[in-house]
Amino acid sequence: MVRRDHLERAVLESLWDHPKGLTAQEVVDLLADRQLALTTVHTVLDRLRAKDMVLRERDGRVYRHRAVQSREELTAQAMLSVLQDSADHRLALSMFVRSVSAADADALRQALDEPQAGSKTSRLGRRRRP
Amino acid sequence: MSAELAGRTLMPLVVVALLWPVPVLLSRARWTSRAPKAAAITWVVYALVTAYTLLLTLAFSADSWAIAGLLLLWMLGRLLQTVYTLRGSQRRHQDALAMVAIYDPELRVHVVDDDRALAYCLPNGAQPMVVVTRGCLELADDAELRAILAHERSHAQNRHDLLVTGFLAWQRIFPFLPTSRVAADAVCAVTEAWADDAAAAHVSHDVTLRAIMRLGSGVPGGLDGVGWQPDPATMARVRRLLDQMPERRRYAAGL
Repeated sequence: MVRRDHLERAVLESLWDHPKGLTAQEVVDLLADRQLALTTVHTVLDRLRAKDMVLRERDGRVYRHRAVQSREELTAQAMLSVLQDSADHRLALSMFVRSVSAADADALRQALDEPQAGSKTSRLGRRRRP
Repeated sequence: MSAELAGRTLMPLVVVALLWPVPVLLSRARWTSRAPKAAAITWVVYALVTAYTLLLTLAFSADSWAIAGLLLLWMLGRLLQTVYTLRGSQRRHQDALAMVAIYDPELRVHVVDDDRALAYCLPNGAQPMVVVTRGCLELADDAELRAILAHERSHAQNRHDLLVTGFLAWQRIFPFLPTSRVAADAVCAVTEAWADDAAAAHVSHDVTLRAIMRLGSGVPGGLDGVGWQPDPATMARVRRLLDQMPERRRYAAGL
């Protein structure tokens, strides 16, 4: 029995490896060793879309799916929400040390000033999605 | 008749005391830092008694069941709203972690590939998750890491998220009352003291202190001349750990 998260992660990872997008059938072929049914992949892609991690575009008669954020962007955004939590308590985390070092605070301030999520990570010296 | 009069004059005074001086005094009390568990229980009792007294006073002394009922609805609504919104953002964070974090079965933590040194406990229903970044694993030495993980596991095992969430709701129930914030901050400090005690018991006071300075400053190696300005809450934790250290070991740690 494969856990749901693991399957979603495997699908998202194959989308990260193919920035130009994949159809559901291509995902099935890429993950051939898992022997997934096409409907399973459709369900997983729908779930990832519900989480705003994947978007799809019509390409002729099929849908092509792309990752909304690269792995680096998703990581950076998650960590920014952790750093930001000392200010707004939206996650109610228990952080080991809440005081943020000067460099982190700088990166945070710049990132939070930015209106677009896309430019957030480039300011942090991270790679942009091609 | 006289009891009724006393009720009408005394009860509002009790309510005012509970809403203003009591939380201020409780947050400044010295014993709370020595006994964080007892302090946590006291804060919970304080909140329950205050809410109960406030509702009763409105109902009986002010003779207004309608206002008391509305206040009760407001309290429950704010509590539910706080739980609901926190749960939503925690889920989203978890969704992201499920895609990027790697579980380390040896350390029993989720590791995120990020340069910034962070360690935290994420509320997650009955099983809070302990998360550290690669930056944290690289920055802290083995003993410091043990202290950090013992601290975060104490948060997870003792369900400190319930306390923190409850008092965040308390703060939102009385947004115009400065002491509701005092209470919420004090409860946060109590949970940190509780977890620091667990770390100190698991490793030692000086290693726990070193770990706090390490992650706070982000500086590896020796801690001589580290330019670090901790926020007041972290400074209070540092002072508290120093106070608890036996004299000899305090000098041995060079702090």
